[in-house]
Amino acid sequence: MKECFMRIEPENNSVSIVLIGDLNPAIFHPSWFVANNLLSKDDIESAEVEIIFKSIAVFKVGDWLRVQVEPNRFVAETTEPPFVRLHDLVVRTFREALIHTPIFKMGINRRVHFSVGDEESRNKIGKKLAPQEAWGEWASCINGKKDNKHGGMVSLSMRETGLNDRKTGHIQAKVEPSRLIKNEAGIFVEINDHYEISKDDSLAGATPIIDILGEQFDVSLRRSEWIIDQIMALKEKV
Amino acid sequence: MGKPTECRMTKLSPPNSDQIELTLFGPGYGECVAVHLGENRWIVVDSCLNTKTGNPAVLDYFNEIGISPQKAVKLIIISHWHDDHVRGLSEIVSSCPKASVCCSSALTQSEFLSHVLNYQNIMTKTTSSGVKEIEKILQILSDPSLPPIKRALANRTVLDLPAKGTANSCVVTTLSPSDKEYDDFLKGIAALVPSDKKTKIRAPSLSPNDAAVAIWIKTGGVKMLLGSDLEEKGESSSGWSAIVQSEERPRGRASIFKIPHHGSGTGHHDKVWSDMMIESPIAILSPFYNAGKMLPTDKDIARILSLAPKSYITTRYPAPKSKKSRTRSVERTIRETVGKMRAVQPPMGWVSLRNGGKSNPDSWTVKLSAAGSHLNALNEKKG
Amino acid sequence: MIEQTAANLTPYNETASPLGLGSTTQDQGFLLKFYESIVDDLSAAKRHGTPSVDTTYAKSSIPDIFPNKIPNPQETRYSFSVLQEWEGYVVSISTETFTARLTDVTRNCTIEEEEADFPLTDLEDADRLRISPGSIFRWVIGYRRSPGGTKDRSSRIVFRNLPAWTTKEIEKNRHDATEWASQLNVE
Repeated sequence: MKECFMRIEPENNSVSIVLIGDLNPAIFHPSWFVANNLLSKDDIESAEVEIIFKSIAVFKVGDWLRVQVEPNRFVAETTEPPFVRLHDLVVRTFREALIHTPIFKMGINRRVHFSVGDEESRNKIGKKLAPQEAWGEWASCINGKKDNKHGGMVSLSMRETGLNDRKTGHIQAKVEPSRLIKNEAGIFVEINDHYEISKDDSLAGATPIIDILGEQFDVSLRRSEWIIDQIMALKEKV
Repeated sequence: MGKPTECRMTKLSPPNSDQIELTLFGPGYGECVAVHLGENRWIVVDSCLNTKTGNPAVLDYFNEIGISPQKAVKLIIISHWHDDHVRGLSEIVSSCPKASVCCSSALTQSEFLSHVLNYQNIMTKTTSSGVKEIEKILQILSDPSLPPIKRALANRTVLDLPAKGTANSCVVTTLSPSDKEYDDFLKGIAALVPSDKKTKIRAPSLSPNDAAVAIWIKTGGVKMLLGSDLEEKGESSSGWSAIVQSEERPRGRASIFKIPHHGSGTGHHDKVWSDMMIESPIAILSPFYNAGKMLPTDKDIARILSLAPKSYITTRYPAPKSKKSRTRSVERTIRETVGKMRAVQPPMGWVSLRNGGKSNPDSWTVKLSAAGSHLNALNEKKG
Repeated sequence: MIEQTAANLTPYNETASPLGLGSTTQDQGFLLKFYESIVDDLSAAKRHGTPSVDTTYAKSSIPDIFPNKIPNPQETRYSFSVLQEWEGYVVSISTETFTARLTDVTRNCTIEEEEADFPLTDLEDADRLRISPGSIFRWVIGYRRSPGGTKDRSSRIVFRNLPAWTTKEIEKNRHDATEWASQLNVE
């Protein structure tokens, strides 16, 4: 997996980092990020706060960042490369300002929407991933058309466990029809790269999980793109 | 000393047991010297990476000529800590567990180690620096079962091998750093302590190259001077002035000179040539590329050739345009943004000097890799 | 098919992102309940005049604060797909350009093999003030798509906001260095 290119250019593209731990959403105001040198004053000028409350905080910064914080979950998402900028923000937040916050799970997530050209190609890919024959007599009902609509695969998830690079965790891929891409020609793929540490380790605060983020972020994105490319390759095989 | 025999080699063989050899590799994110002292006893100075294989060039060389570094290498000298002298050095140290490691004493002081710790973990995997390599080396050497680190100081013997078989005895002496250079180095390092809340950056280099270790090798009648990157500041207590004026330095005149600091004017001192070298020694050097500029400059080349007509350089090629091929859209955007991209280094080359053994110690054969050449070739290329 | 364990039966993939688009109906159901509980909380807070609610988002009704709780399938955003990415560090700075060495991230390289001169005018004002030898950045080339579907070739340079040094870390390093120096076996 030395270099990986997704063979189809995605039309929509995002990366998110999700941390599960014990958080206080009320502090996560953009001005707090500026005060802690995590965002710049220029960033703040384009910030839009949706809500800051004891149980939730949501704000956006320009086109490049969306943050949502709940009592047990921190989410930062970006659609703008370089994605390492998201990594740097999360690392700095939890290595400097919130180093004592217990964090015990992390997800590095990659999402893409890409077109396979037309509805027929997409349907063929759906049938390749989830063969309708497995459903026996019901298969013909799934396939039946009414008012130009037909049934088929709605969502498919696959999970890899027993990974050597972590004590606990998994990689989960989800494939669905894309609701973004026109003419029923799009596929949505989401990769959730999930890491967990023990409760004892999480007592050390955020550092153990953030260390994992530092080591794994680039590797995780590269691997996610490789997995996504396996689905993209089906376009040539159907 | 007569004119050396030159030949261009693609197939390599080991030296005879009584032959002295000095091979200079570079550039390749650095330069490296391997010296055969006879009877399969080797020393290695610094390290560079073979741009083709990504391995330390000297390990690839040993592999090709059938030398086992674990047994053969007696001494590894870290002549200073800049990127261009240490890439891959930790791998050499690991591969030679019986070798002593010698470096400037300043590199073992807490001020430098503090600098290493400050700059070694800046959370970016893709941007390496000499600091990380030194940290790896010192961690390896923390193992108490390995030989102790030898401090390089002015006029200190760091290796003294008896005669063995067909090989003469050999003495390796470090000529620098002087006390003043040691102090200046630590002062320079202290000035690089980062400040609170400053975003981490890649470790900066110190200039001039305080803590650089110049080396004098004497084996039988053969004497060699390896200039490292030692620069001259015009002060009697540092640089080449301190070495030339020292009454304690080893006597005699060298017939082989590894030119300091890639041939730059800052590494030149007239008295090194007049007092420490024979007339018209064999000189070797590797080029250095930085921000599109090359050392040695035209002026440097002219000066070196006037002092040593028998001068050789490891590669005659300038830093080429980057050869990586990318899609048209990317190439177009590169052109629009930066114009041209350069390769950081041209392909690595080497120059190897071997004498005629015990029966003909002053007769040298110069072997060149495909890229290596007589220094004149650089002038001819530009002409 | 995978083994049915407690981990598999969690109501949703908890470290997957709940934001944006593409969540399954199952995820949405769980999140809907969570958001409804927040709305209840907010309503209660408003009734009791609790001060610390900042609803800068200018919508009139509380449920509208979460437009994304049921993601709008028609919502699109700018999208950037990367064709090539490098990590670089600044080697030197002149009056009009800075020179940087580049490592090809797209090809998963680990050493810097290329070098280029970048115009300082290409940088954001804040970066131009902060840039120094050793500063690390990413250079990205790709296509930017607007919500309307138009596509432009784009190049951007973003300096990395790496962790900063802290007094505590510098002091710890100084202490560790002293200990390390005493442990080195030096002749």
